[in-house]
Amino acid sequence: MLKSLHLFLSLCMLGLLACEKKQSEIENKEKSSQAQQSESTTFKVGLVFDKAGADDKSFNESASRGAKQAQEELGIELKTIEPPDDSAYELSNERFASRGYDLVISVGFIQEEAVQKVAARHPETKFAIIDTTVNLPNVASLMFEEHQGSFLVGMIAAMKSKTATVGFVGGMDIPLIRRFAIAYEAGAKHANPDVKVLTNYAGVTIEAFSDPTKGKELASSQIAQGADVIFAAAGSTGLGVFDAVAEKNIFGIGVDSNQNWIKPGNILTSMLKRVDVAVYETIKEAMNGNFEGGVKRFSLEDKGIDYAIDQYNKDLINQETIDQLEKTKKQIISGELKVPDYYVISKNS
Amino acid sequence: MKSLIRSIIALFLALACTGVLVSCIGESPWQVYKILFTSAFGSLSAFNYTLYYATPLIFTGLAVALAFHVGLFNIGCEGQLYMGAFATAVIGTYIPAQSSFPLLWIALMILVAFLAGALWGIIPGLLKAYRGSHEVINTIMMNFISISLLTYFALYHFKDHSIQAIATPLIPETIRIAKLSSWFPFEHTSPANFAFFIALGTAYLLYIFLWKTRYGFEYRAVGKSLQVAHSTGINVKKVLIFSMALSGGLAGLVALSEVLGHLYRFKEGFSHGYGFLGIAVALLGRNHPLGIVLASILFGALHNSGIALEFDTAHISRDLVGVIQGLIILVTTSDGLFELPWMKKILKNMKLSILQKGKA
Repeated sequence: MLKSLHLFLSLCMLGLLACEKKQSEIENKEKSSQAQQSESTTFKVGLVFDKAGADDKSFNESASRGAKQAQEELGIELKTIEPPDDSAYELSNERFASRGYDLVISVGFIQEEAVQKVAARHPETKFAIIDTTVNLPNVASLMFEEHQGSFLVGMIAAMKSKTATVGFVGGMDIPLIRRFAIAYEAGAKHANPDVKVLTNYAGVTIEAFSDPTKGKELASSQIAQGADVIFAAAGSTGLGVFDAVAEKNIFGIGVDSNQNWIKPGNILTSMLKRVDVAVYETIKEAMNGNFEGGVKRFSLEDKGIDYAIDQYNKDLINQETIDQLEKTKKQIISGELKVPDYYVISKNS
Repeated sequence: MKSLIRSIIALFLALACTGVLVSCIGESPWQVYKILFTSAFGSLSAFNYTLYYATPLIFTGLAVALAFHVGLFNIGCEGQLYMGAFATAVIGTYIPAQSSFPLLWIALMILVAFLAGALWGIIPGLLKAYRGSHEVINTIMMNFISISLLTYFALYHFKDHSIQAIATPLIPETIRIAKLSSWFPFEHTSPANFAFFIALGTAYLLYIFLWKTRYGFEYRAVGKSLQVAHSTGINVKKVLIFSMALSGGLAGLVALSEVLGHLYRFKEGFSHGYGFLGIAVALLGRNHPLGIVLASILFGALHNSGIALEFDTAHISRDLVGVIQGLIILVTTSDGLFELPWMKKILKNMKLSILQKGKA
């Protein structure tokens, strides 16, 4: 027993010595990096993801892509953080602001209250929040006209469907996702008035955006009811939907990022919500001193919203469909065609 | 005293393990210790967040400890604190916005939080006393019921439509508990509030109750041996039922720091497992109110500094922060460590014989 104890202790000592050495190295490194920092005034950007995390292949990843592009092209200093739970949003935002970051970008409506509180505390720091509005002069609220894009992919779905039944799998049942659902249904009916639209939500909590198992379950049940094109507006829950459609060799529609590559041949298209563009533009504006608070809308017109055609799906969609889509797109942009907007409908009811 | 020293030694051991772990992934342990300490206690605002995270843990820790003393294992704190929070948030919206007796209203809300939690606690208590069904299973199941049910109510019946998240409307100023910053030199908007002192007061009251009153003696007697307590004429059923109610009530008081003190509303997902962390807090605090307060502050500090670790280091992700926290819980609560022969030998050599069994 005593022997092993001695062994243990001597190992500990060795470990400590090793650490000691590393410590001095790191301190040197730190000193040099600090020296660099004080010389150049790099523009510092902090990015707070929501609980789905940076690798959701969808919404958060899109934001991450935009920020990384800015890092490469504009030479900003970028730090990202994935809060472990709901109570950490405020602390994460606060930490960025109090460490003197120039711009803090918060991804997702779930951070609305956190940004509201922290931005009020730090009027000198610039904030940007995606998908919801915070009415403070130092906060830019980046909003997307999701209903326009959903309408278009609804049309694609209805035109592709052989069974005249299409499905919608939403993430959390909130106004934002209902906005997708209602416009998708309207788009499908616009292309084919007789189409049947099945709508399901994965849940009522934020976990509904990161539950692929539930996504697969819902998609399978919709397939059993005859759906052969399913639109997943559900964060990483959508990955389960794609699994289900690939197994039955029918079609899914992706969301936010271009998800066509995930199951090539089984993903009809993706409704693009260019969070990356919004993030990149916001960073650029803030860096050039043109930052403005208030609501900023991204729509079909400025390509903030679009549908994806690339090498993975160009054989799935024929030219006739594309012509019709482009025509409808122009009508929506010119205001000739009104797409139902849940935000407006729910306010009037 | 003995258990306090043991806990402290265990904490240092845990930190040593953490050091080995982080040096394996290429971070400097000293740097990590420094971040852990400064981000929890290093500045006024850091300390404020630590107190804020500690407050709900004191309540749930006390709740679990009370049940432990009666020999019950209350895993239902999460559901009970949801009940307390929802009840205060919903009833709170009916309180007049202006009142000349705000303290009276706050006292009423404390009562509401306690009763709502107690209601959820008494059900497993009744089932245990009259049907003999095990409280562990019942309390776990009651968690699911409570959280799902209340999320449903918050979404479809009491939702504040001005925000996207599932939350009830804000409660009026009257019943909001003041922030610590109104008395102490903290930053104006930092989250810690006077619920912390209410938690300290509750801990003291629980100490008095358990060790200085006849009821407390009965509770502990039932915890030591149900049969003996029964033979000496203690009404065991009554003790089982009321201890679960009290325990649930204590958990319900989490509403004070979260709903009345910080969020001012019930929000889906507001608790990041306070109820379950309460079990760890009670274990680490050896079921003693003072120990629980200290353990809560430690856990609050860990949670607070966890985010800082992700922030200030290159390689430590949020998952590793969880590993480190788990490691600390694991080592600090492993009591058997001190009974190992080599550990005894070290302690003996260091003349810390007070730590050995039977000598304290």
